[in-house]
Amino acid sequence: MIQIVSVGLVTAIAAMLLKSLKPDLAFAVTICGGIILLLCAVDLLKDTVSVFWEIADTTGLDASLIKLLLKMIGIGYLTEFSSQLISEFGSPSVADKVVLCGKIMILLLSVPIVKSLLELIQCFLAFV
Amino acid sequence: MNIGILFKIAAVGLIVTVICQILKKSDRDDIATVVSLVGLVIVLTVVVQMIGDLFEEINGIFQIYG
Repeated sequence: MIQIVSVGLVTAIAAMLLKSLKPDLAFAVTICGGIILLLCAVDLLKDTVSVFWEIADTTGLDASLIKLLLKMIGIGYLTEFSSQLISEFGSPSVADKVVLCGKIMILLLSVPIVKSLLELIQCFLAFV
Repeated sequence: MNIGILFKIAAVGLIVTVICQILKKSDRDDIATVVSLVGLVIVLTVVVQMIGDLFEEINGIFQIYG
């Protein structure tokens, strides 16, 4: 935890220092600091994902559902990171478009799940 | 591993600024702009490589194949 905080502080200081000297290098330093922090976060995330798979095996859930779920989380994570990166470059309108596309992709992924849910309900209704 | 990259980029920025100042003082402004461009290109290649690593890492976990 301390490592993450120290990386954040060092990035902020380096960016502030470079802003006065060379503004375009300053945003490169902020982006690199952000990436370093995200790499630490991804390492932490690795363990939780393996727990996900263990739960899936024990409960006998369909592996494709878990894969879709993880894909959605990944897409959310990536779109959040890249939209902030783009707004850092100074064009928030493009960042909003990236977020919109991310949402649409997640919606696209959720269609098969909804379909399987409806089929499940239909076969329940068939019993009634 | 990765905190060093941050210092490298800051160092490149500082060196490029110093060189530009020196070149400006000895009134060779065209070389100064070229040097600052080269510095920027170096930094951007490092940044792009880091973004590539991050995306690979995320792909390894979430299998997005994005």
